Amino acid sequence: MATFHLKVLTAEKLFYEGEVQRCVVRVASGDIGILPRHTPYVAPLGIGGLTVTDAAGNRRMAAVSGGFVEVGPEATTIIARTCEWADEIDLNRAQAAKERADALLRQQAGKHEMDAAQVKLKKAINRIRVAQK
Amino acid sequence: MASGNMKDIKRRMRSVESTMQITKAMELVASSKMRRAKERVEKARPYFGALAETVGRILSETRVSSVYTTPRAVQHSLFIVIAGDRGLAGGYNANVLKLAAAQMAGKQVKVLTIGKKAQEYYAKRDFEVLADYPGLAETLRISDTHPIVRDILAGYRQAAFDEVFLCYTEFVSPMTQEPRCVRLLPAEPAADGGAKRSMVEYDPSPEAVFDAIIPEYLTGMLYGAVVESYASEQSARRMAMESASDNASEMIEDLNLSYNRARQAAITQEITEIVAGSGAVGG
Repeated sequence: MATFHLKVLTAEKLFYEGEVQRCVVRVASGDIGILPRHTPYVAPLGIGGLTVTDAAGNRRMAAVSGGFVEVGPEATTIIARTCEWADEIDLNRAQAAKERADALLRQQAGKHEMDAAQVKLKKAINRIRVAQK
Repeated sequence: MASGNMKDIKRRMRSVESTMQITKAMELVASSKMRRAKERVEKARPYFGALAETVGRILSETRVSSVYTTPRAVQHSLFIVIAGDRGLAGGYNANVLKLAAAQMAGKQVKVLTIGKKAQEYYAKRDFEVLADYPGLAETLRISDTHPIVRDILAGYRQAAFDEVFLCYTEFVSPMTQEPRCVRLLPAEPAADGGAKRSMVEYDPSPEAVFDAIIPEYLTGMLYGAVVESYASEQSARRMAMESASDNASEMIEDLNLSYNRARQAAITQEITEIVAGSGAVGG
């Protein structure tokens, strides 16, 4: 089966690099699937899942947030603010973060704090969702 | 007189020895910190390479008219200056501050400092300092840079300053560190831009993509610069402490020589005195 080269980078490390058959990632306007010979494409990432199907057909899922994806003629690069494999997510920590964000939202603080709490809540929910899949 | 001289030399030797113990310890600490910092730099580099490349490519392929790319008449310039939190690192702090001063010449400058040494430097002089971030470098995570970048972008949009420079020290190798100053905003297209223009699809639009990427770009650049600077600081300190230890051991050697000489002179004198005394009694 045809494959293409995928590279997933975060500031801390080279998260993933290899030949893949397919990758599905959440961009700002929704989930997009990338197959080999995709047209050149750039979009900012949303908060959501990243599913990678490698050359052997194994599927792995990760939680991503922030950053962008660039599909080039030779390779696809995902530059993410945060990225972690489903099996590496600390579910307890995500739950705690969700509760903290919930509590913050209920306090009706300033607009800025509310926005930050919204984002935190989304991230926590996303982690929990990905981890439980 | 001779024994007094010997005592003085002994005392100096002890003081140099204790200084050497300190410089030796600092050298070891700095070299272990440097190793960790170097790993961090190496892990971070591919990310910034890709980030800068992509932003440059987007800029050269499209004519995005964004507030972040359009140059405007410059009234105020923001300088982000990254220096260390501690001294005793050879020329590290002085070099980056000197470069910053050279770049600032003739501009209306506002300053944002990272590191205690930069904070102290600009606090003592007549500068408009927007914010200080001391004690950040060692434990910096990328999420720590988000609020800083948010403030910078807000200031830029509100025209509090019209260009943004970043002064940091690049970690070339454990032996060489080079102070650098780059302009972050307004962003310029890559130098070789426009050569080949591929049909890239931007979702939802080039402007939207660009405005989403710019904060990522700045956080990336800032994080990268801090990580590089920190590694440079540690290796500069390691080198300074190494040469201090070398100097100290050289001094101890010299002192040891003069001590032995003084001891010998004292013994000779004593013998001469005894011989002279016995000669006088027996004679």
